[in-house]
Amino acid sequence: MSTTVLIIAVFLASAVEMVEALTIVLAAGSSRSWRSAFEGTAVAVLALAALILGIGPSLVKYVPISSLRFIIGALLLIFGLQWLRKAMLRYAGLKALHNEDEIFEKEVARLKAIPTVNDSRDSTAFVVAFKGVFLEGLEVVIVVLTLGLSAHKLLIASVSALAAVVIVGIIGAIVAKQLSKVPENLMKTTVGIMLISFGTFWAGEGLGIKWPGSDGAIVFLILVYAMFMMLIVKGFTSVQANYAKTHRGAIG
Amino acid sequence: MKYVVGFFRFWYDFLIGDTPEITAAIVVILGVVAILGKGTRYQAPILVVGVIATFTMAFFVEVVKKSRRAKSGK
Repeated sequence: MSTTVLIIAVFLASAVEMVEALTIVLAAGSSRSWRSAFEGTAVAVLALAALILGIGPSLVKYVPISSLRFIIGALLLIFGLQWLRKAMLRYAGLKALHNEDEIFEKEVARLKAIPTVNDSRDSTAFVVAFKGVFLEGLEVVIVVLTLGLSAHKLLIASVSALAAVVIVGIIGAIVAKQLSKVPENLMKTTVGIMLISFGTFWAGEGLGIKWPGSDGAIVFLILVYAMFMMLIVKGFTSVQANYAKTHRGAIG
Repeated sequence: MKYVVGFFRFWYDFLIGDTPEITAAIVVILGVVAILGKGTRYQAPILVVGVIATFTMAFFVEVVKKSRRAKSGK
């Protein structure tokens, strides 16, 4: 059960980050040079894979598992809560939804304004694609390492992330400029809830908690957190709507 | 030196960023669970309730910030 949840969590987290990275790569490719944008992307993906392969096994070898789980749990809690907070604010209408089309247009306009140097490689496209993929990918690396290491399933987590990268890459190449159709906030909410559920579970294990139902407790945590999150957002939006209605009534 | 600063900047942005209240709350909750709840059956409930309280608090902190910004017209 927990393996399935882990695969879903890593896949969704990687897919969300990939959509954001893809927007940057598409902008760099279409406005500057496809070849250089792909080269930048390839180098960034290799650097990220090297990070996972370099850090992952050494952490397992040298850090005691209970300490590792506690630290990873705390990191997942902080990371997941940051994602969830943003998603909740977007659901409540307090923060603008991430609009990939708008970001794409802005990035294309910015890159077109940079003068081209007569060279076989467009260094701007290379650097922009590299930075975009590497920075977005770092979050994926952290999710893969934390979830994979604490569950002793680094390979499964890595394959799941790679699958997300490939699938989003293929879909992105087909739909190109329709990335705004991706339900990013729903995906971010799901990932946020999954990350804090895994975080609670692993931090608790690191502190010596024996969870009822063992790994099955993760599913219970996901349901509890999802329910409370929805209650808060729904409660807030309905109070806000009532307040606006009353005020309009008082003014009218 | 640039890379060392960049390394710490990355971790600062990653762990604290614009939501220091989340990091502080998690440190406090895990500390409380480690100290007070050790060996008791209350560890798990304290941790779960603490996490729910943290995301509720993080949400309303932003609501208050936005409302203050709206009132001051910024």
